[in-house]
Amino acid sequence: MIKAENVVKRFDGLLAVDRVSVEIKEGIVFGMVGTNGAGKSTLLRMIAGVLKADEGTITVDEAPVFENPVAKKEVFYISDDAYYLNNGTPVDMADYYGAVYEKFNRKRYLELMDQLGLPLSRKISTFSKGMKKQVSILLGVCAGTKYLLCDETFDGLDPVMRQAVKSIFAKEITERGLTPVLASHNLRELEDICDHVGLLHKGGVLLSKDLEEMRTGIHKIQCVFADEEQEARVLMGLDVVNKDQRGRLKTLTVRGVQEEIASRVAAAEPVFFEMLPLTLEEIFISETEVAGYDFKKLIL
Amino acid sequence: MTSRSSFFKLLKEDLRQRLWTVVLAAIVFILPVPIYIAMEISGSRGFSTGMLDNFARRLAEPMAYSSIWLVLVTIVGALICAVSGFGYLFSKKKVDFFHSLPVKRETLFAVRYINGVLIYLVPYLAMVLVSILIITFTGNMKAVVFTIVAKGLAVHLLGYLAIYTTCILCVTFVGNIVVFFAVCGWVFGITPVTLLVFNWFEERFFNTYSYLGDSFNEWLYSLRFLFPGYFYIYSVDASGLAVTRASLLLQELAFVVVLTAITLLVYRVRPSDGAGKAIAFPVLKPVIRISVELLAGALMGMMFSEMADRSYGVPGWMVFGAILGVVLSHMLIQSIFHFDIRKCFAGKWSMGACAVVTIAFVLVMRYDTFGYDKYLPKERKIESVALEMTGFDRYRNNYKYTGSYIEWTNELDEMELTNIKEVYPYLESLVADNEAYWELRENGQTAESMRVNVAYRLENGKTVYREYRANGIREDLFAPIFESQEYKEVHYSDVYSIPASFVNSMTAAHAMNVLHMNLSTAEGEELMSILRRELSAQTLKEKLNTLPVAVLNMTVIDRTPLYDSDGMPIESTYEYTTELPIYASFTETLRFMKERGFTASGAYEWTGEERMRVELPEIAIKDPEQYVGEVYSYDASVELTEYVLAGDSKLIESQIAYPEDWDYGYNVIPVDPEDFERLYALCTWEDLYHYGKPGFDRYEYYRVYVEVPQDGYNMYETYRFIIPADADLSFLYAN
Repeated sequence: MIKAENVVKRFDGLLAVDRVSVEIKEGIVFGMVGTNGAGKSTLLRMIAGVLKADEGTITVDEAPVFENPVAKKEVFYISDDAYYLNNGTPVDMADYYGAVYEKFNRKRYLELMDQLGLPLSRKISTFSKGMKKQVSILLGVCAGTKYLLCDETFDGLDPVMRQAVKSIFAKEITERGLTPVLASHNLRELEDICDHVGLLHKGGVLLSKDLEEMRTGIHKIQCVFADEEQEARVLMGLDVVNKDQRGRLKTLTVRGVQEEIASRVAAAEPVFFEMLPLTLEEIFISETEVAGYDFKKLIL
Repeated sequence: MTSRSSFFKLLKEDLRQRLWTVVLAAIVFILPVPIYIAMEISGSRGFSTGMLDNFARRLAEPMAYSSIWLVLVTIVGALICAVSGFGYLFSKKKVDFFHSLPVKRETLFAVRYINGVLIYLVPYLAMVLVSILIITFTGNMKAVVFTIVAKGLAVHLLGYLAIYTTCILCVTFVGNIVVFFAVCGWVFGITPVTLLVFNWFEERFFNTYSYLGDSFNEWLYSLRFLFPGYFYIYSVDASGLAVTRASLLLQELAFVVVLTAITLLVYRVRPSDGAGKAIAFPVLKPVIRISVELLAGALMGMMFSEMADRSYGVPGWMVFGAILGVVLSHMLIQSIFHFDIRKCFAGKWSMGACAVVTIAFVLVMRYDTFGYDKYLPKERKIESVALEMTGFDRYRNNYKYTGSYIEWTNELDEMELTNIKEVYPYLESLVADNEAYWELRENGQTAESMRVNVAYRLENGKTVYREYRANGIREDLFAPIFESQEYKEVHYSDVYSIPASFVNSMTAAHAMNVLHMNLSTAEGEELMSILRRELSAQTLKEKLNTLPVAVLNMTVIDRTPLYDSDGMPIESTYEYTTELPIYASFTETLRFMKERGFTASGAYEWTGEERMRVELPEIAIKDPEQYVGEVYSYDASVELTEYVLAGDSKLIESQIAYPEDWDYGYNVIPVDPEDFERLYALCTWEDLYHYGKPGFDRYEYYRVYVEVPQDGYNMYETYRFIIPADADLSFLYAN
């Protein structure tokens, strides 16, 4: 488990990370969202042992990570602007990482490179942005670490490749309990891949929750009521977080257990009624509103 | 922990990344030197065996410690290897890459540091190997080659390590390549440049500043551990240093070890977010900025002073220059630190404080607030004193036999007057004379003076040098010093130190009366023994108030074998002539010369073949009006305000009327042969004046030239004589 406790980091007096406490459990895909400047990259760089926290502690499997090769052996960091060795090819990169990460799986790396159709002996500097990201991800996956920190890594990957990466992650999670930590400013990029999401804002964590847990606690209903009296009767018993109306069609975001909500609305016999899945964005809107923030201003 | 195998893997991978530096090093080392050696060999066939040692030495020269090529390669190589190894610290993405690896910073440092050394050392050794093979297989190998190569390797490798490590330290200080070069300049230059500027102020404003003290080199040596290039520069050229090259190299080794430890420490604590910034450690910013501002202020203050304020008036331009220097350097540095020209005035108060400090400094130096010129150590704190008076005995040669060879020495280095009680009153008079002299000068008046250099050797081991302007010799105060054996043994160091057995011949002379003869060893020893005794007994009174009666030249030949710095013998025969004035009190010496046929007088028998002429005296005048009608300017249009001819005006007129075909100058009067003897009776041989009246100006006298024909040649030997300007020479125009 990666654990950050009351972590503070300043750059030239500017507070980049402000008393952040977060736990990243093993075997999940952890999404870290936040606007530019929210502190995602700084937090990841601290978890990777690149930066030293000014205050607080960061541990990987209970060992402090900074200047601790034993702890760092379990972490692989892909920065938002990854570096590739001068004139290096994918094979050179594998050689270099192979010298550093004892568990680097060269065979699997070569297989995956082949699977994704990436040339092994061409200079990486000639690759497209997406190809470079794929190389980074494969290097990270094959390094054999427990944790893979990806900073804006999915930015620039096409949908097909995202699916491919997702399946690679899924396999690694299943087979050896890999824990990818994905930081992004774009919630939509994380939506279909994360199990747990932490929201960073102005250097602090606004919320950190399990996605499934969030999904089961909040729902979207579209319905058309016969009259206002019926509507009032239905709404009275529900914890409505958000209400939207187009003509007679009302869209409600409601907190609570799905079955209970459905039976309560159905019992009122509205003209039309349907339960819809919530997007991650909608879940966040409601969650941050509870915390007193306007999520649209935070992230969209 | 990094295992040994992964350490070597990292070494290998790092080296792969720096392949270009490896190739470059191989080219600059392995190609030029062996090619040069091969060309030298092919171009110089047919040497005799005796010349082979020197030839082998010449072949090894490109690998010697003094090889300019290796010095250049070492300095540039150190800079390149430091940047290629640690330049990743300038890039955020490279820092993220390398610092996220499960490798300790120490290991990363070691990998890169060692590779930087190997990139230099391996091609260097390859160059040595190839060169030695070429020299050996062409039959030119001598043992001296190995000595030269080993010394060269020690000097250059240590020099490389010192510069390379310093450059790495500079890399860790900054986050940008351009700022790196600026900080390198600061680290390498701040100490010597500060000392140079301070030295400049001393020279300019302290009247008693002595160049003989060489305070710059002395300070630089004291601060050598703050000047990373010191050891390398001085181990390449150790001439003039008090320490040996081996001692310098040992100090350099200690310097490298400590510097490497400091660099590793700084590298470890360097924040990773320093990449891209001007300076990675905020604490360094004020240190760099303030030191540069103070230095730039002082430097520009001095430059403006030199350009526009050479008088001793109010130093307005100097103050202006100081302020300008501080402001401009502040603007430049702040713009660089912030990468923003708009921030050039950030920290105005600090800039103001620097300007105030700089102005205070330049004014303190200008007005000698701390009394540099009045410096006189307490009597009890002086261990010994050395004196050197310019103008006194100015024709003395300060040669000394060291025990193995004869060398030029400096009285200030050699002399140790330990009777401070006797010397102190003279030193006090020097300080007072000096102050009076410069007071007159500052008031626009001229003053006569002679320079006296003094070296105070203090109890604390320091030596302080001063140059005073003395008002004459001060016979009463200087006599006990001159008459002491400590003074004489250094002042006449050649006579006292050169072994008597080296004396080969002597020449005794008084004008045209000359005796030259070879001396046997016994004669040489007798002469030296007499001379030493009589020199020791001579009083200052005689020296200052009487003229010598003859001049004695002794030729000494030193055949002691010499060895070069590599221990190889050098064939040498050193011939040296020492010259001494002989005074009337040197009775034993005069007896010695008389026994061999020389009498100390200028008596001469005229043959009628000689020629004689007189040159008129000149006097420097302060008020030309005073001399109108009495004397004649020899070049009225140009020099009337400086010199006029003095002496008998009728003599001058007679000269002016002289036939035009006379090819001497218009102030020269040819003498009729019938006047020779009468004129010669008034003459004193000018050489005796040189010794007996130090500082005399021959142009204030009648100068008489006697030209004596040389046997078998249509040439004349000229002898110069002096007659006082007030002498009656009317007989020259009586006819």
